[in-house]
Amino acid sequence: MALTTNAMTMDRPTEPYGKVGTWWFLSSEIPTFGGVLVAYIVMRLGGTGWAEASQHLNFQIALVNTFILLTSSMTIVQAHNAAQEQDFKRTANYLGLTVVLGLGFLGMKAFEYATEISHGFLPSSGIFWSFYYGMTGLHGLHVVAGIIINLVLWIQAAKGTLAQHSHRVELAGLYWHFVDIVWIFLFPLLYLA
Amino acid sequence: MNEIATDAHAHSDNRSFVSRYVFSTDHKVIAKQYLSLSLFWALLGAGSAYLIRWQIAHPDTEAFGWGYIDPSVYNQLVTMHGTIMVFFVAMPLLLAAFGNFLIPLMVGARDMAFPRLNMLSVWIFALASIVLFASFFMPGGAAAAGWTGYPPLSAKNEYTGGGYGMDLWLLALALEFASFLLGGINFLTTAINMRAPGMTLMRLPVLVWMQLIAAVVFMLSVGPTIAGAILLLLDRNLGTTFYAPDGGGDPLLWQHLFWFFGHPEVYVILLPGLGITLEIIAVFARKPIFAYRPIIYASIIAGFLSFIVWAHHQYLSGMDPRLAMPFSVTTIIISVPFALVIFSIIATLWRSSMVFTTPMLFAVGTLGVFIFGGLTGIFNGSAAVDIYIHDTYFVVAHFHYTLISNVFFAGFGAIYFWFPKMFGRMMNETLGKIHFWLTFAFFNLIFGPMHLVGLGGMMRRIANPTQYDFLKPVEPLNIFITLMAILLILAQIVFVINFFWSLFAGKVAAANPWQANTLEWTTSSPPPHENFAETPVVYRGAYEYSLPGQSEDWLPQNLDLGDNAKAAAH
Amino acid sequence: MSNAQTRQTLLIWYWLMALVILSVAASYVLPKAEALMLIFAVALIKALLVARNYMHLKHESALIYAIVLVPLAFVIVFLIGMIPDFVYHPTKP
Repeated sequence: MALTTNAMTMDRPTEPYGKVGTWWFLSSEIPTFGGVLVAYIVMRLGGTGWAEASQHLNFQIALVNTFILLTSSMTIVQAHNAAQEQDFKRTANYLGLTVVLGLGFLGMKAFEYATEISHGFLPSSGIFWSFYYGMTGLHGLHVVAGIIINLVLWIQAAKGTLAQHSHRVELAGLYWHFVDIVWIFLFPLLYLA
Repeated sequence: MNEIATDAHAHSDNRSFVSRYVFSTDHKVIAKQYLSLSLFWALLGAGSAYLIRWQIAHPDTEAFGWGYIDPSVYNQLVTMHGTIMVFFVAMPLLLAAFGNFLIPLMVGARDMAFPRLNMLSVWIFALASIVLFASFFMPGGAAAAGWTGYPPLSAKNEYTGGGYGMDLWLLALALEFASFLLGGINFLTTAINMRAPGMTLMRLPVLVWMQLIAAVVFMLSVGPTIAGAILLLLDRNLGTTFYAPDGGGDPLLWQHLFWFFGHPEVYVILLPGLGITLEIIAVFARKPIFAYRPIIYASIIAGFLSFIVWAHHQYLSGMDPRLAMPFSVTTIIISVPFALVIFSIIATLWRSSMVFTTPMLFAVGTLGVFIFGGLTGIFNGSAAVDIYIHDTYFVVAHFHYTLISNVFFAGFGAIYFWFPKMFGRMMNETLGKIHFWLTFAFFNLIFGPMHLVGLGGMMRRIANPTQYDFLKPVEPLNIFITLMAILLILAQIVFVINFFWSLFAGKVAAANPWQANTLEWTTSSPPPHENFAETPVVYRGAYEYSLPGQSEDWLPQNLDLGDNAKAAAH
Repeated sequence: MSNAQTRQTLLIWYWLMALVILSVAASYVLPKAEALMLIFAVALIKALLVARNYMHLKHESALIYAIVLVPLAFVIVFLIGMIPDFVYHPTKP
């Protein structure tokens, strides 16, 4: 039902609707995560005891998770490339891989939380742990949402119903990459600093 | 992209009431849903105002029609009055209802860019409404930490006597934010992508620009508050210590996270109100808007500036005092672009042929009331002065002058102005004028004297001013203000009668009863499902009123004069 | 599948992996301050690689660039506003 507009009489050529909409959504996520990360940074710079607390984090798990998430960004790009060439079998495969990697990330995270909790490091254990659980938890919820989106697209690709909205793979990719970029900053902030 | 359909989309409209009005993706229906919800909440907001005023004027007596107001209940009322008015009246009325209704019509589109997302938005808002309403009935009552929800008052239940009410408050706000984020995406994509041929950005009605700027400001500012709300929920429920000093946290963190959004939020509310005022004034002054482009640029600049003034709410919070001066400076600076807009509105009225219909009365009323509120804003914005007036009723008077002018005066103006388009009937002019004058008079009689109450030292949010000797002088003022408040609320009955009576028995409206230029007036009242029988083509800006050499004093945007040299191409 | 596209995608991925390893190595090898500077510089580079290549920002219009850059600018403004209160006047637990 969209009206086409005469490009000659418009100020600028139009962008595909879904893509503009997705970027607007990401623009609101930037200050959301930005707000928490800024709070962490300034409080850590001024506070004491943060570095000691962060020693108790499991660096190896986080490192593996970093590799997992970066790889999943690559696989969803491959899915998008395949979708652009109308190769939906390949699209499905790469989307499936992305979902599996995402679940892997969550699994590792869950194991990590379980270990920390069993050692007595709870969200109420102090300001560092508040931020650790708060930031990774918020990030984790976004990963869950991303997995659900990718799962839906995977199913559609496998069933062959993705063809009429194959551009959605790119949009899902945009969201997934954003989630990945947040982790790219969370990892050094929490585990390496 | 799809082709333009030249004949109207054949819709066999024998859908049930539920599927047509509850599950509708039509932006006009969704707009009315937002309108209904906002008017419902306005009722509750007014009710809470009544009880607050009763308690202040006659503390510890039984409020007429309600009963004794416990101090903890008073705190809930104060909190919910603010929350309701800002988030559940102002936002849905000015942004969601009129933005949804007008943006596709004004740009010449059939609907929003994402109609189903639009439906989801209003559903999420309805859910937020249910959650907030439910919070009243929780053990411990509704949230009671002020609409600003500062911890530790909001973080620890034992301070307010509350319980789940606070958590539901946070949840309701989170849902409301989500609803408006999705709505903002729709507004922006629609206005960027779906304009009719010839509708360049600089031919858009000012109201569309204002809605867009408001949407961007909202979307970019709400993030930290969402983050802060999540952190508060965690503090309350998981024992984290973000805001708790004995756990290494800091209550100031909440204040910064909240006000980083809280300040831009008031401009999110203000800009559409100014846009509505401009639209109405252009039509009833029969004159082009003075300085259309500077108004838009000034509003964009004000939008940017709104992000760097937030700590003027925190001068007395114990924050680093070195922040006071920079934020005072930026706060004073932000008055400049708004002054430009106000002067432009005045210049539009200057030497115009004003027709004082009800919408025009409300629009001019908005202007006058807002100027007064803006002036007291300068007092509040200077840190040195604010030391004395912070947290007094001077601030309350200030923001009611600015907010009520925009939410209620501009909101009422918008309702009276676009009621014919929305519902196909005219509202009664006589009742409208009575409503305006009563509202204008009582409003000023409430909030004018309130400045004196504030300067007399009365603090905000206290339940019983009579317990302080130094507040004895303002007691008579408080009693007077309460009486005026009751009369103001009663005066709204005129509006309610007019609104509902006109819905069913008002004079049937023509397509363009006000002889206005913008595209929504070129289609029927109310518009058909797909808005226009065929895509409009736009040839000029929206404000070609009283153009020399034309036979009429108005010239619609889509009227093809056949001679492009004659039509003023802006 | 277009080989050029796949190659480009994989190339970025190799760089991302390498940069992670570099960060980790730096945290062991370099003194604290230099390591931190390198680590966060690397994080920025990784983010840019993902944004410009995987999110196609390289090919997008000025509008979309603005949609990304303006909120980032506001986050920086927020950071600046927060520093006096939290870096110089921290609460002591």
